[in-house]
Amino acid sequence: MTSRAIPFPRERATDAASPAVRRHLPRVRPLVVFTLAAIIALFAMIYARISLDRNAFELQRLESQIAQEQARYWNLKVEAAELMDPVRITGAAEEMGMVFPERRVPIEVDGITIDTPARAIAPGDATTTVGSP
Amino acid sequence: MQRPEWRWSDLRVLTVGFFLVAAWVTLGVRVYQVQAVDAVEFAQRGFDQRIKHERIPAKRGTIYDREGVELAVSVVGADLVADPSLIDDPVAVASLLEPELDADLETLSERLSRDGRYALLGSALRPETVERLEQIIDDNDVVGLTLVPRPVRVYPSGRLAAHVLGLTRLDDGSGLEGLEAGLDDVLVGKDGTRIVERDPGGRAIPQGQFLVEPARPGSDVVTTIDRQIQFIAESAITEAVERTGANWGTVVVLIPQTGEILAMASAPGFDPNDRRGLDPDAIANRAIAEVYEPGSTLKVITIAGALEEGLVSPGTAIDVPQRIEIGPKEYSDPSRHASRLTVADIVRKSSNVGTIELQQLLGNDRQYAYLDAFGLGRASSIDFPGERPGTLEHVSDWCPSTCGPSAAIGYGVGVTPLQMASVFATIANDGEWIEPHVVAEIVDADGNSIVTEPRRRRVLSAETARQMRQMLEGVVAGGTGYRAAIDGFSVGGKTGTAEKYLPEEGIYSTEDRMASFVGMAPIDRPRIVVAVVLDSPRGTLDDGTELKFGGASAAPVFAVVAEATLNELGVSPDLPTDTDG
Repeated sequence: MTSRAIPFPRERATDAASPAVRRHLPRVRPLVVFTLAAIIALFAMIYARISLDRNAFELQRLESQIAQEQARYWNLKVEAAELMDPVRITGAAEEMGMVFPERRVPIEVDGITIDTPARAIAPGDATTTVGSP
Repeated sequence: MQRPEWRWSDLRVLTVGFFLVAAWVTLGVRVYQVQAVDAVEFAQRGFDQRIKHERIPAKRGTIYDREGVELAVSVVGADLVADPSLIDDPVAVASLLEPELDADLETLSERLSRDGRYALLGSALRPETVERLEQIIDDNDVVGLTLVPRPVRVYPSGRLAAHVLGLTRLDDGSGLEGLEAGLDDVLVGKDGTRIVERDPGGRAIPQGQFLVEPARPGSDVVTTIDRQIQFIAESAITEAVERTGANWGTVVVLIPQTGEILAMASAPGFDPNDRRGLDPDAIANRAIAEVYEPGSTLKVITIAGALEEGLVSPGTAIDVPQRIEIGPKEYSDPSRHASRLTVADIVRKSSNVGTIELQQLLGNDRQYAYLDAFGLGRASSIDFPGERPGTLEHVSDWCPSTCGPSAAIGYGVGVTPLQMASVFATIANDGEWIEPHVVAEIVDADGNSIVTEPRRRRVLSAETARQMRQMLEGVVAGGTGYRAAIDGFSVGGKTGTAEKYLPEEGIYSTEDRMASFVGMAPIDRPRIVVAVVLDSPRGTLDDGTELKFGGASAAPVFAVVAEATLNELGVSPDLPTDTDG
């Protein structure tokens, strides 16, 4: 009778798996992975869809805000133009007791050239005018 | 074998079974029809219900003054619409809305009480009105009212330059009068389209079908109008019309070297923001829409023609009787004068007889040629599609004896105030006619600028123009136009007082006159030309002078407008002022 080495128990345990178990192991792992991947993909898609929807709503909100700001911009432009209206300014000035000067007062300022040919004013006696009619 | 006993319960089972099978078969057939046979049609029908084609209105271009201040702007306003079926107390709701809307209480109540589910209560409401209405609706919990956003045309300066700017229609916003109508094609822009998939609540479906063709805004228009000068002109002509009781009045201020119109004012005026009780007559831009016989202001053309042809000079003296007979007509001078007058005297004293004698020297053909060269008988500017051309019959249609003489003193020829301003601007601009215009620049949505050069043509030599200016200065310095004088400036111009033709009766009025004054300053190198026309001014001045004369009613308006304009433009005085001591 010859002696035989006793197989290492761990290897033996592995090798000792039944053929049925061996057949099942490789089938179960891809399925799990696939299932997990599918679930992750599903959640990813849902997340992407939600993100897209959220962005779309955000885009709509921004567009609406742009339209509102543009409207506000033009309303302010109108308001500014209305404030600059000479009719309004004159009315406000009169309410404050201001009056049109009866006569313009030209003030001669040395060194300022004039573009209108002077007739009775000596050349070089440059003038500019202040005041209103 | 014995047949099973028939039972009523079997019949019930069979009946129910039959109907169940029939129902399922019917349902199956219908499902097949919907899902397979008519699938495309139903899918399309659903798609059509979700898809909305929406118009994106193009923003109408803005109209600016010469300094870039907005004169006409489109903003987002709204229409106020009601669903009368939801309004419980129409009178109460109407009383809430009435202060903010054009319609009166009775009209609003009627609209809110009518059958149906739609009533338009207010159209083209301005943003501030919309804001107040929103507040009213919220505060009072009013149901059945909706503010529908829409573009609204706003004129920030109200009445200022209203005749130049014109109006837009309230319904579709297209131009109706003035520049709004004349430049409608430029201002209007191109509407865009938005195709969007919406849920039953009207909300856009994210990731749904969405397609936008953006609107292309209209071009902006920069005008030559100066708001300060426009205000001065409007104030002066309004005051003159009120003071003299004239039917209407108009003022045109332009720069002779460029043809730019700084101001074009008419009285009575109107506020384009307020259409309530708007008088159609007040909308007319008298400066381009009124054709009148100018009287003596037209003498400058005949006299300039005689000078240009070398027939006379300003110092040429001729015998001028008080009256002259030509054909069946007798022409006379209103005031007595010496029997011999120089051409300068004829201008200064506005002698009808002297001018007719110069016309006789010039002849009809050459006179017509000058009238035509100065632009009479055709529209002056392309900027005003509503401008009337006036009336100038071809010389071949003139009567042989009196048509020429009558035209020489401003009768038988119809002009607009703008045309007369243009005639004097030609003299002011050394004899070169430049098309008067109010549009300085058109800027499209991409920022491209279009500047149209005004037409030009030489009518007189510079020397003749200079001589004319000197003679016109005499009219103000010591002639009929002395009330047009401005302290510190040399002023030249011509008065005009023409009998008013009454077309309905076919005669000239014995009372009413067309009073005018057209002038320029400073005379050596005029910076401005101002034309003033008043229709039938009445009354007298303190010194007894009748206001029906152009020198009494129109010349003072010229003085006010010209002085303020020169000051506004920063033109220095060319004469010593009273304050110089």
